[in-house]
Amino acid sequence: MRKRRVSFLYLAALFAPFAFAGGPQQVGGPAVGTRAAFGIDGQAFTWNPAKMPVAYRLDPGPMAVNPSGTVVIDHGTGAQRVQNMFGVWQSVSTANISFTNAGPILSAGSYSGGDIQTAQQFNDVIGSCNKGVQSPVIFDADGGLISSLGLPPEVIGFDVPCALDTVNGYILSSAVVLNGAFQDGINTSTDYELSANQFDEAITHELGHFSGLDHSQINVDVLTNLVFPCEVDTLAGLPLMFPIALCQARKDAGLPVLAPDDVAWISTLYPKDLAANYATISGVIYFNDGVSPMQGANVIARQIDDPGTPEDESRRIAVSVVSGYAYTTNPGQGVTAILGGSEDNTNGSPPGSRNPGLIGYYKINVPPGTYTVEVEEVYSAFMGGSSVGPIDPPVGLPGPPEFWNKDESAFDFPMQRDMITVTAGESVTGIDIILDDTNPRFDQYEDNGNLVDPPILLLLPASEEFAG
Amino acid sequence: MRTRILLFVWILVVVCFSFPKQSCSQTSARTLARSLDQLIEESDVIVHGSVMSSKIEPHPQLKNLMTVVVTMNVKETYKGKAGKTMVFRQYLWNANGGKSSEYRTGQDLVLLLRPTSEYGLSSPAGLEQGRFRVLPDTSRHLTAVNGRANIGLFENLEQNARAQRLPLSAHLTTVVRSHQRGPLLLTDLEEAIRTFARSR
Repeated sequence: MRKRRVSFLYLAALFAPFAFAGGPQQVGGPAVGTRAAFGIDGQAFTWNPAKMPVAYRLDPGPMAVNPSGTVVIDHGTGAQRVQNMFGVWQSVSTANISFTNAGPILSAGSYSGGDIQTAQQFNDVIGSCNKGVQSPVIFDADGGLISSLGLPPEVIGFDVPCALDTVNGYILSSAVVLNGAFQDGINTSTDYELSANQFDEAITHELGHFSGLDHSQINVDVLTNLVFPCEVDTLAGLPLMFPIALCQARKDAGLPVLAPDDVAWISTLYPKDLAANYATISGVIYFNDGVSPMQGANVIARQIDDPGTPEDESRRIAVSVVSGYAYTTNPGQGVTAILGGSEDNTNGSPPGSRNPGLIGYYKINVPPGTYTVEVEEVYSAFMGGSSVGPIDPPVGLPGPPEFWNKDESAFDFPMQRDMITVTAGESVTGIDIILDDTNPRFDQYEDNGNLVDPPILLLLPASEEFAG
Repeated sequence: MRTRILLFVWILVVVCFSFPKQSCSQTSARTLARSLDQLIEESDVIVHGSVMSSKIEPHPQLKNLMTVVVTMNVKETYKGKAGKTMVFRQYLWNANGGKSSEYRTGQDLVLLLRPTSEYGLSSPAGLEQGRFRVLPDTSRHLTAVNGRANIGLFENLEQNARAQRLPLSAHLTTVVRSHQRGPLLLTDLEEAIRTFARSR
């Protein structure tokens, strides 16, 4: 028994979180015990707005080379495309974020300039990124680097978070890798190809992470109503930061690269004239007791449809966040998690606030207009690499999805909704949703934890037996 | 004793299902969707097993790169060669500051693993697509779901099977035609894997 207990404690200690959140990717947490604060309590990690533009350094090699070694996209063209991809985020008029190409990647260790081709060179450049020296954008022109790293050829690109200023809550450096094999003009069962728009949008998604954004979930029914190409209203509201790429390129559908959710969140992280252009809707998601806040529910503010236009604005203009996005996912506890050293979870994890008022809290910046607010679960398969919000795997919604209405209760009709009209600069608070049909948080059957047989048996597969 | 063991397991389950997102989830990688037969073709080893341990550590040579070393207890091998215990090392590009990975002790997984690179690194085919979590459904049947909710898993599978002259059973044909997304019965996934792995 002692051995089993030790195993459990070890497992619990392993689960210290890093904390991502629907909206911002990383949120600061307070000093706890002897541990220093992690950034600014409850505030998203961002690039320092006083030090704009963000300087990236570019791989001096070509962007894409085909298997026979012929350059398909040369450096100059690749550099321009990267600049355009950064420009997508930079062009948001309500966001104070900008980027500049500071020149070629700086020498580091075995890397002394030129095209980064080997894992050793990549390692050395990432080492300098980890020290906050530079933010490299790396062209893996033929996909060989990605292959050396043991990654599959399906990886279009990825963002490597490198260094944070944990005193002031800023991102110091980050790296991006682009798999040029997707742009080499060859489309076989082992060398995949994407259109330029598809590729650029995939990398622009990575640059969203580079800028500090997490995944967002809106119009998730695109997963259930699988049609290709995707229906345009659905695609228009589907964030570029949606966890997985399913549809045609947004540009190919005549849409801007960023959805309203992307624009709202980059503006929230890097506000510029926000009050003149956005309003705020905020509230708390509660279990059905109306008291216990729920972390991990996806909250969406949707503009109501304008019957005077052919478009469905309720599908197109929507902004979301996961409740409790600013709260820690591991507050820690000292009862069973103290083994000493790295296995001590008494203080929990550094990221995320410990302010209990933030557990079920959400705050969404929306363009002026009339909205409904709804709550849904984070899609159950969005975990790990495709996760949304602070809790992974997602917890699911303990009650049915529902809209906010002004007579919120645990017994209202989920489809009953009231509208919220907001003007620029307005802040509407108290848009709280009390979930229906959730299990009681506390009841007369509360016990000391010994009555565990029925739920355990339900969770185990039929063939599984306890040993010992 | 039984009560104590059950209590321990219950706590373990609560911990496993309620603890938060891992530090090193491979957030921030865009991948191209592949169908199951393509993932199988890309794989070197395909196993069903449980995670015995996962440890985050720097790569032994490439010390600025964090990796997760996963040890699995192999229950079944569908393709390639794997012993009763299998160990692999995967690059984690966003492990900085983290302490754990997507692989959690006790997880039941079907893994479609790619060949190991010259640096001893491997990863699932299609990344999140070649990593299926095995979980019981409400009827206590084991199901499997990958990181893309199994979307597109059977895309063109029937045609590809025909092209390779691989006979699909009537049952598998029904599954392939009807399934769009979400968990699959583990037995159905196994049958599909065996069908295509046999041809390699």
